[in-house]
Amino acid sequence: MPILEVTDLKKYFHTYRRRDKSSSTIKALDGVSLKMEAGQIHSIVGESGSGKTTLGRIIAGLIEPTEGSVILDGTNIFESAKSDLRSVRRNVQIIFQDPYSSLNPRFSVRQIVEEPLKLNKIPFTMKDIGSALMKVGLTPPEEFLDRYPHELSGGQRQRVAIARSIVVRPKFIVADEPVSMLDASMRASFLQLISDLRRSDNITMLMISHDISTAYYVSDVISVLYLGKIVETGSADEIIKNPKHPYTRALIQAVPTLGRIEQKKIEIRDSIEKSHTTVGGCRFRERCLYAISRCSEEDPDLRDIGNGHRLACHVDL
Amino acid sequence: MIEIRDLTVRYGDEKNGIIALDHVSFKIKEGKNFGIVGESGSGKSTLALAIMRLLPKNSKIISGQIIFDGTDILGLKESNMRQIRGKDISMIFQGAMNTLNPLMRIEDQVAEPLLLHGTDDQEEALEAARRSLSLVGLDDKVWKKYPHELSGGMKQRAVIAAAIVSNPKVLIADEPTTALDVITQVMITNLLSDLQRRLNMTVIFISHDFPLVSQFSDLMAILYGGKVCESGPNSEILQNAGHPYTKGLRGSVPVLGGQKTLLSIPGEPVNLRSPPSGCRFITRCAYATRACESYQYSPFSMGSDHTVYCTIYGG
Amino acid sequence: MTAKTTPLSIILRNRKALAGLGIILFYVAMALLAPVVSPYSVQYTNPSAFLLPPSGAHIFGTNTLGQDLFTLDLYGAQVSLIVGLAAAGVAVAVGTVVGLVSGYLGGIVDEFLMRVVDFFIVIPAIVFMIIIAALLGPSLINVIMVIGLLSWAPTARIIRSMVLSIREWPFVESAKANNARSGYIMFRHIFPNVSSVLYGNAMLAVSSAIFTQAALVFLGVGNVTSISWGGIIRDAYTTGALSAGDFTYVIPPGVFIFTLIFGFILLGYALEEIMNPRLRTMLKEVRQ
Repeated sequence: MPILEVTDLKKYFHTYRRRDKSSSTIKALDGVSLKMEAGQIHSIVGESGSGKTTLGRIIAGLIEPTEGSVILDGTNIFESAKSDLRSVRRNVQIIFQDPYSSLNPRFSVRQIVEEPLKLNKIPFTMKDIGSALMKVGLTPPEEFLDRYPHELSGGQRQRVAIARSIVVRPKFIVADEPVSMLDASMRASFLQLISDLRRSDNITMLMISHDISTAYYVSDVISVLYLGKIVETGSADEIIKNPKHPYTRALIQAVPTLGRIEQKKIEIRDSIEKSHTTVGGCRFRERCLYAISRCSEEDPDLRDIGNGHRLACHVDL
Repeated sequence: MIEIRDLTVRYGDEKNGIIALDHVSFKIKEGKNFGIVGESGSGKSTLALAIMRLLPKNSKIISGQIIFDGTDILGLKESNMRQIRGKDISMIFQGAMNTLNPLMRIEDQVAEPLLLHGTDDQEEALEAARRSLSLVGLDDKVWKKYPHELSGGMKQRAVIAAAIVSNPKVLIADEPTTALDVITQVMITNLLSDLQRRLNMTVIFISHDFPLVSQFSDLMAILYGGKVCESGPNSEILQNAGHPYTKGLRGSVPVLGGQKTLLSIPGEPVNLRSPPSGCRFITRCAYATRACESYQYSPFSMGSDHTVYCTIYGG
Repeated sequence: MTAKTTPLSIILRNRKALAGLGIILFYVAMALLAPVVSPYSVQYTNPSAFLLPPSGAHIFGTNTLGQDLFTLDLYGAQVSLIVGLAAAGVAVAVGTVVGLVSGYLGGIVDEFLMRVVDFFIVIPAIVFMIIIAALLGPSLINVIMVIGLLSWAPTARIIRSMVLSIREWPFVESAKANNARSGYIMFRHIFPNVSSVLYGNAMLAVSSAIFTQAALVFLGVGNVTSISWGGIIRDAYTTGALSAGDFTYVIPPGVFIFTLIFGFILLGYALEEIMNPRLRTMLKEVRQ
């Protein structure tokens, strides 16, 4: 049984301007479905505005969807009684993007890592805290227990954040851009840590990223999200080596590579505007170099194209 | 064209301060894009601010000169520096999109540098501003808008327009693409490249993103802990990197579709309050020896302007 | 943290803070040592020594009951400090709780509480205090309560605005994601991170409370029966001594009130100055 099953998730934000009685709806998520098996690392890749953060928050149970369901290990998160929700909360942990504001500046490392255990009324000993810190590379743990966040570097703080999330042995971790605020030289060791944890603790992780190259490094599965819908999904290798959606291809081409380039070419229209209100048809067509007439009429669905690879596009590249 | 000579900048007082830049030297050549690679704590932003003479009050320039077109701008009177700042040498700050005044229309903000530098005619300044905006790809639909009506990428273009409106000789771009998504990042770097050619500017591109800098620059300097590790032509450094830090940076660049192994640089960034006595990189270097503890940063030339600062090469 | 950066040493390096602390400690000493230093006992009366001008025997002169004004002035420090600190304590405590609850819970609770705050800021507090103090009758506790419960609004506003920004920080979300209850989040997570604004605010609240108490007593309400500087000034006025030109009656207590208030104001501004850059760096780190 898949550990996570998201079905047709929608999240609409309604804004109403009293001034001219105009209302608009922002469709942050417009029908997202995905499945994850235990022990998998699944990356959601998208730009800001793609809905990736909203998706992460909904799966973590922090906000409610407008439509759709999230079933975690058999439990439908948004239809359970309050008491079930509490145990769901304990089983899904979140790692945030910003190592500076995701730790309470007034708590010591020990207090930070202890907190989830205390809040969820899980009995523990100092050994549990120590082993969590060791697992994330903060050794010897005694040296870090009484330190405060401002005494640690960004990379160390992020490690504390990971320690905090694994200490309750969750079933599932949502990591929201965990490395984007770290220096490049720290990212590699961080991604390595995530890989190691997956192997040693069989952690299941949903990673949200704007950078497809970091996604490639740790994930089994990559799903590309564009303006609220998944446009392509498949194994990491398959997506990187054989990208079919023009947006995915543009994302891959945009990754900085070593070596002087005067003008980098990527397969996307240099349109300055980005609209959330493309009416009808494929939401990517305004930036797409390959759009055909069908693209303005019909919003493509995700179809299976073999090899576990699914694509939402009318054009065959 | 700009030569940094032995520049040392300290924040704070002698006892409790940090040395952000420590006897840094290199040359920026006219017409060639110069890239500065540095992570947090490297001193890269301090360097940019030093060139613009915009260092904060609690800083002190302990040594060094910055020679621009033959004059040491560190020795200039503020009134003379004002002629240069924003006019001959222009800067785009980190997080520049947020430096736009939310209460001013875009075209007025782009015209402002001209008005501040002595152009009396409002119309003339606005005309130049509009030309500048067109150059960066923002058309007349945008000119009269307010910043909040623009997307992140558009705001960044507006900031660039404001920086080039006075046709500067040098443009310093400090992390111009951080906080922008990858695709907009490409657009903006392509734009800067295009502007550099058209306006014959020298662009100094500062970033922690090593491959991004390598795409853009002809010449590079790599900073670590307030000191230069390596400097020289881009191609030289990529093919023949000398310093272990440079090698580490290169190895940590993900290559899509390649092997899934990334080199990482172990350890934590330098604590600038109590830096190591010799080489700053010593705690993270795989090749460190005892000699590194007393390294005095004597340069070693690896050929054609390519300089490395490491004991591996003697010194 | 090296010795140089402990909170106390930072405070001591600030000139305003040192000056303010110096003044405050002077009056604390006055209050504590009054029984020891005063030339006469508090109960001493000598009706024949009626309204004497200053002399060797009575440095500040005497009042209508022949009591030594210098003695009374020394003891006056006690009431001012007690009421000042206690009333400010009540005001800051109430204001903090209101600000925390209002800022964190938002919605209807916030709307309601903010309207209450608006009410207290808009009405002339002194009028309210006069009425209530008159109704309650003279006593030290009453006056502390009256001042405290009517001056908490500015604190609430300040705390609330800090709470509004802190509550968006991910570490709060993280606690929520682990089933933390609102009360826990407000007091364990948010309060410690907003408390730095309280220090300066509290000192200013003390100075305000000291003045208010003196004013209330002067107007005839509050703890008129205890010995206080406001009371001494009041007596000068009501016994006609002031109109008779006996300025030495009122000048010492007046000077004492104002310098003590000034001491707390200095300290308050100094603390705000010290806390502000720290707040700014804390917020700046996030905006990286």
